[in-house]
Parts: sequence; structure tokens; C-alpha cells
Amino acid sequence: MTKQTHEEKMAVLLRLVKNEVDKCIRCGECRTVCPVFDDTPSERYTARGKIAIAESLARGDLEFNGHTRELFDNCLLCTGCASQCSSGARADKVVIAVREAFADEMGVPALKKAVAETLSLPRAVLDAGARIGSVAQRLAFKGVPGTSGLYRRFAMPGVDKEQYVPQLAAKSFRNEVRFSGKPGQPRVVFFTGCMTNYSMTEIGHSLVKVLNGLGVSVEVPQEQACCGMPMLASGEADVVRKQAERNVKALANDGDDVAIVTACASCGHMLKHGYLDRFGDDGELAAGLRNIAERTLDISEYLMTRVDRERLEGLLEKKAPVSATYHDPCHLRKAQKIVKEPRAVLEMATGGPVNEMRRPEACCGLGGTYCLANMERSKRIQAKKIDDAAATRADVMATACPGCILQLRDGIRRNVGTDMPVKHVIQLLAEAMKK
Amino acid sequence: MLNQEFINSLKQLVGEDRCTFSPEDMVAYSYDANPEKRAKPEGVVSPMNREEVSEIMKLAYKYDVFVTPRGGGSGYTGGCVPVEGGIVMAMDRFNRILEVDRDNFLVILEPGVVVKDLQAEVDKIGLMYPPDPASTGFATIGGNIAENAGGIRAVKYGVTKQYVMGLEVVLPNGDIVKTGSKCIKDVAGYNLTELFVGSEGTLGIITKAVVKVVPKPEARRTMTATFATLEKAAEAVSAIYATGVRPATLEFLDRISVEAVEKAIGFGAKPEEGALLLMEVDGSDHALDSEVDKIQAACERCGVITFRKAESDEDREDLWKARRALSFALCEIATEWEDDDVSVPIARIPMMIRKLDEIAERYNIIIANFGHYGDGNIHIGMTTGKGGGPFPMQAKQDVVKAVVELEGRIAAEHGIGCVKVENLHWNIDEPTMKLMRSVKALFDPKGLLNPGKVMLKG
Repeated sequence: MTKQTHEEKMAVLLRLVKNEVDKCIRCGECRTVCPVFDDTPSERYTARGKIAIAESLARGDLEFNGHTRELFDNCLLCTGCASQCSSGARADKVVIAVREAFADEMGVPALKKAVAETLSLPRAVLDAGARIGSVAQRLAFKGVPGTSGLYRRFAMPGVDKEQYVPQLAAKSFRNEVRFSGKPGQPRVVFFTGCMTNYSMTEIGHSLVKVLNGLGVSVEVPQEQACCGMPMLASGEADVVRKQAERNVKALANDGDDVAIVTACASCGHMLKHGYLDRFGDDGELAAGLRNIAERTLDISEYLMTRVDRERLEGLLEKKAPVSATYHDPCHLRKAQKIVKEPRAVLEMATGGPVNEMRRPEACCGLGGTYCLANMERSKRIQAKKIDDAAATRADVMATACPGCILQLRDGIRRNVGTDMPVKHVIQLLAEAMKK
Repeated sequence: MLNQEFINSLKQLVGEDRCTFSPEDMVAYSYDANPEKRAKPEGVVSPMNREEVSEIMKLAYKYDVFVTPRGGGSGYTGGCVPVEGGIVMAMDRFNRILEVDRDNFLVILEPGVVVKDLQAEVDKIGLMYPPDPASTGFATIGGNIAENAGGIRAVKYGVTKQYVMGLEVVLPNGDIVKTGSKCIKDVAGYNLTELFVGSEGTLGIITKAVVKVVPKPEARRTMTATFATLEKAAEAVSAIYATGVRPATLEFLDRISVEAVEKAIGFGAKPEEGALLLMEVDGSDHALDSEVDKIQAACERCGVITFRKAESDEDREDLWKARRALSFALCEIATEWEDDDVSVPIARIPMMIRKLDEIAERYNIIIANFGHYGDGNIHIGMTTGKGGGPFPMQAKQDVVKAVVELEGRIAAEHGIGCVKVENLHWNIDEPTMKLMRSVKALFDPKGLLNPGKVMLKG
């Protein structure tokens, strides 16, 4: 294949963004939901601004340089703007397309490259790395009281001293659980996601415990790979494509009635929409991806739509209600439109109504590597979230995404005034089960 | 080209992070929601307080730099598009509600507050800020005041100007002036407040506003009525008014709009239904049932085809569905529409619609009409349809002519901006225009503030 010229590449970029450019009427509705704009009110950070600037870049009216890159890097891909837009313009698709163009024009920043390269390593290498890491961590980090996390003992480049670091598991979840249940029972396929597999394994075990309790077997395909969200976010489409192919091999064509469940908002979004947004017209691959997308359900969605409610309630112990507040993961609420289900699960688990915080839908500020690459702004967004959560004086904060858990625990460590534990709703449900 | 000394002074004044001259930022401040008018500024400044606004204006005055104020940038007539270059004054950081004075039914706030946030704030204590444009969720109060925004409750509650009691404004020479007061009755001096309301940022920059709020109605009822023709619907509106009932909201969809929505979302309209009225009444709960009955009886006397009442919030959403789905539905007919926003005396809506039908026939185009029947505001969508060739611009002029013949106004709630600037003479005669130009010259002798908007230079 001959190498594309710059002009050809720009024509491709323009084609990728044209649909959104046409839809965007620049009304400004996107201004009210953008966490970055909320922090720094400048039109450049709005979705309509990014769409207009993307068009200018593709037309050659603006240059690919550090200034223009900065504004496309300043997006958490929370999809708030896309879910709010009355015209249905998808600025998140534009940001991803432009980041691809930047990756091509200027390369991928080292930090993001490192994350992408690590997560796309073959499974055996990753497993071994995590095992070693789990031991090494204990030397370099101190435990965070009350959570399964750590923070640094010594100065380290690229890591803020106060940064909460998740404890890597000595044994990955997928190495512990391959199939749990009884043959012949209804079953689901569990897409674990990296964080649950290598660090917050308790989320996976909770999911298995609940589903087994309901008489549902859980199959954990061993060849599943990182969903590719971090690589998609850094504009590395080729790597995402490989991850997609690996996951099609591991998950697709399992029979339409077998649900793929996930307990990670971002993985769920990727399986349902992220792949198809990018490779939806990619022939055979697209067919496999559609198969996956149609079968994927978030765990709370699964519990509320596929399971007998009385049976689920029958598993739970009647205890005094616990006050729990709930943070909506962006990729669950905005990208997957799942709002009621995790709350219903949480109410079952805690025996009381959700103690709603102000703006539960506001982004926590993680945004994958955003929290490292744009640390100051990420921390300001995080601080607002923690303030809102703390103001509820709830006993526990629940959410439905391991990434958010990471960010919220980090925020609680930094912001005095609360030591609220942060847990996944499925974890709280498992804890509420009769012994 | 901006003078380098001006740039340096501006940077010194507000700091480098609150002014920008970068090419990508100029793209991001080149538009509002108008589909055509775009122009890049040469710089953007984001002041934080009135003193900064004043200093910036003095600087601009000294160096003859055009200044275009900007709120949420959600306008439809290019009101904040810097057509002559210069700098954009972005008022985003003026976003505080300073005082909610419950006893005097008023709120003091900064212009960058989003209207919905003002509404939510007073809602908490049982009050209501009535102006409710479709852009309430993202337009700012400063922009609403500058454009004298309307909205769906205007028929009962009026438009923005009825709610602005006082303003703090920075003039082009940097002077800070205060108009109006907290008093309902106030004849101390000229009514400068209303001069600024609707001046589209050409006379001064609003830095603070005192707005009136009202007690929130206890309850509301929502209903829709369909008729064979818009004339029939018009008869019903007259009949409703004759009963003494004044709906808070009275929206209409014409035949093309009804058909488009039916096709898009299938809300159950029959082919004979050629007009739809969406109505809401509000007030004390016990009184509303009888108001609804009166409306229903009036509609029945005028040949209503279907009359629906909302029994729950879900029902209400259902009834609103057709109105809300309209923009989306019209996109199915054509993606390119020429829009207009006009106003006629309310009793002349049917005449206006007839004239629009004639224009549609004359130019072989599709015209979809919808809007706020109760206050005479018609939103006109014109298109040649999908693949129908270029739009005959003469049709737009014919609409303006028709409006003027019916003693209507060429702009109802979206302002003149730079889009209708050449048409203002249709409504304003030369002596009046001359007075307006003198007023502008008095406030802004150098003509630096929001140039190219509202009216042509004399």
C-alpha cells in the first residue's frame, strides 16, 4: 500500500467528521454539560468549538501543533455533549478522529503510548507483569487505610505523591475463575475488563457470587483482551482494531441468547458502541462486533431485565438500611443510558433509597489517562465530585465502573472531610447476600 | 489588525490566560447558532468584573478597537458574531447569582448566569422566572436581556423586558451606569433600562441585572386540540379568549408540521387533522378544571377533531412530544431550511398563514409554520425540499412584505443581529431610524460596540 499524502489523510479526516459538522447547529447546548468547559469557560473546549476547529484542521485552515492538540487532548470522552445534543452531533467521535490524525502527524505522547502498549501485551506477559508488580508495589507504596489501594512511599517520576494507586492482585481474576456454576444452567459470558481482572478482583467475585446465587453460571472466556478504550482515546486505531479482533474471537458467535455481561461502564460502552462507531462499516469484523454489541449488558441492566426480581430479593438479608450515594459513570449513564438500573440494584443492596448527591451525573474527572496527562484540571473536577458526595454524609459511595472507583478513592484521599468507602454496586449486592 | 500596544495592554490588564489571540480560538468565537454568518475576531477577552470591563472598553476606545459582547452564543441572528473583527468580550465568567430577594420578588445576578439556573434557584423557594425560550437550558440571562428573548409562556407572562427592573451597564467609553431600581413604581428619570433591553449589545455591556420573579403557579394543565385547518384553530383561539381564559402557553403546528411529525414519530394524527394547538393553563389547582372545561367547550364549538388532556406528567410529555419532535421531523423533509422569526398582531395569524401559503405556491416551495400562536409569533421554515434546487431568496423578501402589510414585525424573539439588518427599514421609518442612529451615536460615538448589528450606518 502506498503511503497516504497529507492531503489524502485530511480528506479522510474530513469525511470522518463531516457528518457531525453537518449536524452541529452550534446552538451551545453542549456548554452546560462539559466538565472541561465547566472548569475553564472557553469556547475552544465546547463540543461545538471542537467540531468547528476539527473542520478547520481538516481543511488546512489551522495547523496541527501543540496548541491545537491541547484542546483535543482536553476532553474526557465522557460523551455528555453527545447525549445532550438535540441534533445528535457526536463530538466524541470527532475528538477520537482528530486524535488519530494527531497521532499520525505528531506521534502518541509517551505516557499514553506506554498505557496502550502495556494493555495490549499478550495475556501471559501481562499476567506475569501483574504478579511481579503486585509484590513490587508493596515495597514502593504504603497501604491506604480502609481500601485495597496504595500510595507512594518515595518520589517517582510521573506519579503525584498523593495519587491513589490500586493494589495489583497476586493472582488475576481470570486465572482464578474460568467457569463458575453448574453445567446445564443458564449462563452468561463475563467480559471482565482489565481493572477487575488485575486489581479490583473483588468486583468479579461479587458478580459471580450474585449470579451463581441466582442459578446462573458465569463463563469467563480466557482469550478476551482489553476492550481498547485507552487506545481509542489516544488515537491508536490500529491497536484498537487488533483488540477488537481478539475480542470477536473470544466472545462472538456464542448463540444470541447468551448475554455478555460487564461490570465496567467503559468496557460496556466499548462493546456496545465504541467498536461499531469506529469499525461499523468494516465488513466481516463489523459483523462480529455487531454480534457482541447486541448481546452485551451491564450487570445492573442484566439483573433488572433478565432476572426474576423476587428471586433476587430472596437472596438478600434484611438489615437496617444503609445510606448510600451513587455516582453515575459517564459511560454508563450518558453513553449507555443506564440510569435507573444501578440505583435499583443499590436500593436492594442497602435496603433504603439512594441518598442522591447534587449532580450525580457529573464526571469524576478520570477520563482514562486524562487524569495523568491533565492532572490539575482533572483534580479540580474530581474535587467538585467529592464535595458533592461528602455533602450527602452517606455511609458509602457506590458506582458502577472500576475506573470511577479508582478516581473517587483518590479524590477522597485528597479531600479532607470524608473517608467514605467507594464500592461497585455489585459488590454491595454481594455483601448483602445471606451467608 | 490589532495594534500591538493594545494587545500588550490587554494582556497586562487581565493576564495572559484570560485573553487569547490564537487561530483556533478565533475559529471557536466566529459563530453563533445562525447557520450562515461567521466571522473571526482578532482576539477574545474574558473579564471577571465590571472594573475590568470598564478598563477594557477604555482601552478599546483609545485604540479604536471593535468590541463584540458575547453570552452563551446561542442566538440565531449572528448578534455576537464579530463581523468587523476586533475583540470578542466573553461574559462567561459573570456567572453568579448575587442575591435572591424573596420579600421583594426579585433577583440580582450577573449576565453569564444560564437562564435555567436562575429558574432552578427561584423554583426552590416557590418562585418562577417566567421567560422560557427554547434555549433556556444554555442561553445566558445577559443574552436574553440583550435580545429581549421571548419564549413559550409569553402569551400570559410577557417577554424578557417585562422582567428586567434594573441594569448595570458599561458604556463604550468605560463609564459604568446604573438604570432602574428594585421598585415596581419608579419614574425617576428616563426609562433607560428598556432602552438597553433588546439593544443587542450595541449600546453597552451588561454587567449586572435586577430581574423580577413571580409566585410559581400552584398547578398547570396541558391539552392539545386538532382541527381541519388553521383557520378553524384560529376561530377556536378567539373563542377561548372570549371565555376570559388566558392560557400560559398556546403553541401551534400547521398542516406540514403536523404531517412531518406524524411521519417521524407517529403520534396518532389522522389525515384530516391539519392544525394542532398545544395549550397549557396554570394557576390555582381548584380553578384549572373549569378553565380546561371552558377551553374544551370553545374548541368543540369550533369543530375540534381531537381534544386530549394530560392526566399525569407522562401524559404531558406525550402531548409535548409532537412540538418537541418538530425540528427533527422537519429534517426529514429537507436538511436545509431557510428560517424566519416574525410577529403579527395575534388576530392576523390566519391571514399571515394564507399569505405564506400563497408564497409557497408562487415559488413552488414548502413552507412549514409553527410557533407561539398566543403571542402572534410565527416561526417559518422554508425549503425547496430534498434535491429541490437552490432556494429562491425573493420568497424571503415576500414574507417580509407580507408581515409589514399586516402591521407585523420582521423580528419577534431572535433579534435583528447582522442577519436582518438590511430589512429593518421595513418596520422603522426614516425619521425613527434617524433617532435610533442618534441614540447609538450618543452612547457609542466611535461606533465600536457590536458593529454591523441592528441597523445600517446612516
